[in-house]
Amino acid sequence: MTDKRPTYDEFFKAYAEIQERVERFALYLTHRRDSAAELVSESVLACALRFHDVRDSKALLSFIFTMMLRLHHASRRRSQRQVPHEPEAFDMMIGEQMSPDTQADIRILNDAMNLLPDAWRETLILAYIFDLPLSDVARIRKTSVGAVKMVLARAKQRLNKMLVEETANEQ
Amino acid sequence: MNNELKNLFDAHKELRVQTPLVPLDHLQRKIVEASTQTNWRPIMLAFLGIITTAVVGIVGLSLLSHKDPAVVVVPHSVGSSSAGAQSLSAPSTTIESIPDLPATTSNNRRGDRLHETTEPSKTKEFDIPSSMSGLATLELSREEEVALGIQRSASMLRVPVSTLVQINTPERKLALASMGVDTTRSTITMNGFSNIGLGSLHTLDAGGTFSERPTTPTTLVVTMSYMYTFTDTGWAQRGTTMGWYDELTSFIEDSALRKEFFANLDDNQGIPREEIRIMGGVLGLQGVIVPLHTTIGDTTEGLNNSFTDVFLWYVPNTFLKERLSKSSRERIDHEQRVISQIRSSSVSQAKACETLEQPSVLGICGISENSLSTLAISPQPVSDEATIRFESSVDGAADIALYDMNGVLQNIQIPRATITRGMNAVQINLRSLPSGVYVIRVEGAAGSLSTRLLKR
Repeated sequence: MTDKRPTYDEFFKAYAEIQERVERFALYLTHRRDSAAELVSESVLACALRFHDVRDSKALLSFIFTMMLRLHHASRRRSQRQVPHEPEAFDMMIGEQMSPDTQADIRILNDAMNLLPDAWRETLILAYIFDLPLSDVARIRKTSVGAVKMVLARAKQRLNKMLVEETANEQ
Repeated sequence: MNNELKNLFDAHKELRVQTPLVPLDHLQRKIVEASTQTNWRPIMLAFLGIITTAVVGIVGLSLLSHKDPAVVVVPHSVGSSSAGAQSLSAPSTTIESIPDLPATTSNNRRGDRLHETTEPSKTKEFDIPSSMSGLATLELSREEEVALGIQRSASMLRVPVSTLVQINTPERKLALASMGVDTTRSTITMNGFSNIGLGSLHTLDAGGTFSERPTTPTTLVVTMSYMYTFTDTGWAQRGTTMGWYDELTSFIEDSALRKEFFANLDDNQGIPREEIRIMGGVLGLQGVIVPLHTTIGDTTEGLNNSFTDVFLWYVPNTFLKERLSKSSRERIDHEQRVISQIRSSSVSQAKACETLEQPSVLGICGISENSLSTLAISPQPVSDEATIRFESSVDGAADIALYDMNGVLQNIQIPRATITRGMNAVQINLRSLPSGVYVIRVEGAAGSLSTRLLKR
C-alpha cells in the first residue's frame, strides 16, 4: 500500500527561503518574542495545510503574511488588555555589526511608526520594509491599491510631521 | 518620499532576525505529527453538513412553498427511543396565535435557503443563580426570544449558542488556526448559531466568533428546546425552555442529569407531559403529519458528540413524499389509503392493521389502549345539524369544541357528551354558525381528536 500522506518537502523548501522575513514580520506585528513565535508557528501550520492553494512558491510569502495578519487581528480582537511591548523583541533584529547611527535611525522610525494606527503601520511595513508590490499589499490588507496608496501617503505625511517635531524638540 | 524618511526605511531593511524564533525542524515535526493523525472534525462537519443539507432540501422546499403546518421538534427521553411513536399521547387543544416577526429570506454560507426574522438585538441579561448546579430552566416570551437573538420562522429556528472547544489535539488546533482562531490557549468559547428545525441535526454554525473562556460559568452553554404542535388550523407554540448549565461535557456524560433535564422540561413549563408529546397514532390516523425518528446533537466536539433522540414531524404532502425513499413513500401512500378506508368505514381499524407492516409509519395501529380514534363528521358540508362519530377505548365524558381557521374558539353551545367504549355518535346543532371551514375537536379521557368541518 502506498503512503498517501503529504510530505510537505516542497513547502519547507519554499519556506526556508522566506523564514527570516516571516519571523521579522511577526516581530514587527507583535513586539513580543513569545507572541511572534506563536504567530509564526500557527501561521506556518495553517499555510502548510493549504499549500496546494498557493499558485507558486513565490506567492508563499504573501500567503503567509495574509495568514499572519488574519491570526494577529483575530488574536488582538479577543485580547481585552493591551499587551505591553517587549523592547528585547526589536533588539533581536539588530545585528552587532550594525553602526550606532543606523541603530539610532532604526529606533527613531520604529518609535514613530508605533504611534501610527495599526492599519497604517502594517501597510508601511509591507510596502517599504518588505518591498512588496502594492497589489500584494492590497490583497494582504484586503483593500484596494488606491486605498493602499492613500494610506501610504497619509502615513508618510504623519511620519514626516512627527520626525520634524522630534528634531525641533531635540534642538 | 523624502530622502530622510527613505533612509530610515532603508535602514530598517538591514534588520535581520539573528536567531530563528521557530526552528525549521520544530515546525516540520509539528506538521508531520498533525498530518499523520486523522482530522475528524472537518470530516464530521462535512458529513453532518451533507445530511443537514439533504434534509433541509427535502423538507425546506415543501415547508417554504406551503403554508402547511411545518415541523414539530419533540425532545424524546434518551434511552426510550424503542418506545417510538406508539407510546406518545395526544396533544392538548390549546391554540395560541403567534404573530410573525418581519422576515427575510437569505442563504447561509453553505447555500441553504433560510427564511429568517430580522436581526434582533443579542443582549439580554437574566438573573441566573451563580451557585446553580445542574440546570435551571427559563421560559421565554417572544420578546425575550428576540432579545436573545433567537430567530424563528415557520421552518427554522436560529439560536445563538456558545460552547467550549478544547484545543487538545493537533488536528483541532490546525483546523481552528486555519479559521483564524488564536490557538495559544487550551480552551476557547465558540459562539455561533444553532439551526434547528429544517434539518434533523442541531449544528453549530462554524462561522461564529470566538472568545476567551468567560469567568462566569452560567454563560457557557445554552441548550434550547422548542416544542411545537399544530392542528388543522395552523401551528401553535406549546412552550419554550432554555436550559443553562455550566459544562456541556458533564451534562452529556451524566445520563441521570440528562434524564432529569428532559423530565424537568415538561414540569418547568407547567405543561403536563402528555401535552407536549404527540401521539403519532392519532395524528397519523388523520393523515396530518409523519413522524421521522432522528437525532440531534452537538457537533463541535468531534467524536465526543452527544445525540438526543428526537421525533421530527412533517406534513406528508406531495413535496415531502416525493423526496422520501421509494419504500417509505409507498408505505405512507398505502397507509393513507388505509386511513381513507377506515374513515369511510369500509374497513375496520383492527382489520386494516392486520394488513399493515408494523410498526406503521403513521402509527395507525400504535394507538394505545386508552385512545380516541376514527373521528368522522356527517354530512359534509353541514347545513344545520351534524353527527360526529368517533371510537373510544374507554368509557367517560368528552368535550367537543369548535374553532375557526384562525384558531378562535367558537361560541357554540355543545353539551358535554357521555361516551362509551366502542363507536360513539354525538349530534350537534350548528345552525347559528356562519358558513366556512372549521375545526372540530373532541377531547376525552382517552385522548383527543380533531378534524375539519365545512359549514354550508
